[in-house]
Amino acid sequence: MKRSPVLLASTALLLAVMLSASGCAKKVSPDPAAVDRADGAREASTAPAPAPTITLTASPSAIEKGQSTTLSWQSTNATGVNITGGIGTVEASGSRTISPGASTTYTARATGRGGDAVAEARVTVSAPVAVTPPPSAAVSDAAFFEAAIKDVFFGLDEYSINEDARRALIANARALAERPGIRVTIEGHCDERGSEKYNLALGDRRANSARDFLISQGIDSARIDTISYGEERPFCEEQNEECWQLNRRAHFVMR
Amino acid sequence: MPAKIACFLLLVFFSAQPSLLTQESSRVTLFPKPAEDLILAVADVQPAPGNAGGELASALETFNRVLYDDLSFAGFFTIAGRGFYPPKPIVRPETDIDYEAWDSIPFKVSFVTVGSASLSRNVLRVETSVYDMKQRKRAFGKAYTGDPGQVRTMAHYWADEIVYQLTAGTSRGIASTRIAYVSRKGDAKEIHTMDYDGQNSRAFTHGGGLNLFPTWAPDNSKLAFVSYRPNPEITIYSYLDGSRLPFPMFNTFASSPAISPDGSEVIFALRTPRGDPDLFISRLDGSNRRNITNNPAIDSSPTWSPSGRQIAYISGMPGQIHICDADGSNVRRVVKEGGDADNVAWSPDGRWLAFQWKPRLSPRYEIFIADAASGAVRQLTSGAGSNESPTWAPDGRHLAFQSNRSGSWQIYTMLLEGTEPRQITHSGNNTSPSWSGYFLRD
Repeated sequence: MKRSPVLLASTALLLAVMLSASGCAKKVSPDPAAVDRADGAREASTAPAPAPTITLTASPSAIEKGQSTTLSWQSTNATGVNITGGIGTVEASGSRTISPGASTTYTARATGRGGDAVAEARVTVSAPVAVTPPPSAAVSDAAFFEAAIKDVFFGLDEYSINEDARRALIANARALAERPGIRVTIEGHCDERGSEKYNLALGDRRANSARDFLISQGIDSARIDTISYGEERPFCEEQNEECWQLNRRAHFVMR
Repeated sequence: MPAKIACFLLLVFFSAQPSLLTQESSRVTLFPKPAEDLILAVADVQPAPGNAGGELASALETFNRVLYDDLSFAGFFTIAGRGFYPPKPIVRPETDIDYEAWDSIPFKVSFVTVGSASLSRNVLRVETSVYDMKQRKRAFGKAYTGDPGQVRTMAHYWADEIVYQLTAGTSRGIASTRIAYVSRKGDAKEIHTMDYDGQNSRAFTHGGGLNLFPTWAPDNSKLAFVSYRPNPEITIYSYLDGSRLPFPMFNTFASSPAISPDGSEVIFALRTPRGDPDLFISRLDGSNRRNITNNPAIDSSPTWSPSGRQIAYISGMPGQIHICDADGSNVRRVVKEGGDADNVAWSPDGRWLAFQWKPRLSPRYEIFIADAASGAVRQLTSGAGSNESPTWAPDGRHLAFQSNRSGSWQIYTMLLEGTEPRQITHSGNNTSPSWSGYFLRD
């Protein structure tokens, strides 16, 4: 009967848009002829300096706000490299982890004796995706119930809903609201220390406290039956407080 | 699922009675009430002349042991120990009782029960008498004829006859009564009945479900109990033919039924729309149902006063003993010690309430009685285990209860003083005893 808590795979299913490096490099070639013309009067006595090149990529190029991405660059023939967007002067080749607050186009400029080269990479930043449960149709009611519905525990000789029970019942009510086809029986159980007759009545009160709470959360009363087992169906048969606490419960069963 | 019920066969059992009782001597009123110093000797019933053989010897061994146990437990007499009796077997009392020898033993024996028996063609015949040792003459007697398998019944009848005669009819003896109880079978709990000494037990329900809290109609014609169908429901069966009586199902929570002394009504706990159980009284078919407690606490475990005019029950968290009139008026708390009480049972003479009680957090209950008028309390059990669910024998001098003192739940009987405790069930788990009323007497 022991139900292990199952992690509901309700964390956001982020569809990682694994777009591969999307930075587009744009070569700005120096015009050798112009250089030659500029220096034409005195003949070109030396070979022209090789032109620099640079590439810039952001991976991933699309992130949620608050997440980070890696900006990588490689240059050749450059004497200096500078990247816009607050990064500044950087080494010839390298990478930075960045977490821009909004979509940004980064421009890397490589400067060399042979001229300049420029490359751009755009990082698209989106608002966080709301947490959504997994697609409902994929999970059976039974599996959903098993994963989402929790038992509720009571204090000694009590049937009132304490804070822990309240939290569990609110979660149960949300889950039941999501699956209107599920009908439940709430079983009331007690530890063995009271008399059998009294415990049968106390178990009934516990089951009904849980039922009333769910109804107050908007669950249709027709979906919820109760039954008291008192001390007749203990979950745990040892005689200690840990065990007794386990037995003081409203136990949810799918009909 | 409705529990299947075997029809059985107390009907057969008791219809055998007329053939068992074949004679009665002149009835003598011996005492206006049982005397404290009434000393009874229980001499073994002997084979009648010309009768011998192992089967008769075996039957008489049973008869003599059961009779001795019955009379010891009756609580009315001092039983003279057998080791002191004059050695001569008493076959023909007129000649075999040596009054001088009986006068010389350390007890002043008031009466002696004697008898002889024959067995032929599987018919056992036991002739029994009580002799008045002061008057030196026969006081009364009976003869019983039946199957050798009925030998325990014969001994119980004779024990009850002795109690009836020697108490001048103020008690009828309880040796022929039965006790209903709950026996656990795995996850199921079934209603069983057994003789008051734990013998001859039989299942009454067989459905494999949960059946709880049996109680008898005072004339033993019915058993009322709680049966899961699938919620706990009030369930009333004829004990005579095993048929179920019509009674409404509530599909919520109904518990702890008790049939009224006149047999016409039943009181039980039922959940109200407010969510808590109150006590309701209805006719045996469920009609004319009315709420008599109407109170937002848990009300449970009602018991009728012998007059049928009052109800004792528990109310509150934990349970406290209250009394009210059968119309719900005049509510008052009886036992003011606090703690946790349940299973209150009103004695047949109306004077006492027996119940289980413990300090709130104690794991163990003890059996107590309280004076229904004053609330003054006496503790009856103590020592090992938890002692719960007292039920009165119809003589008001004996109680049965459940205890886990042996390591499992078993049923015990005792005298009202708490003395002569006897464990009457020994295997499995047995709880919720309910002692029957007297069965019909000729």
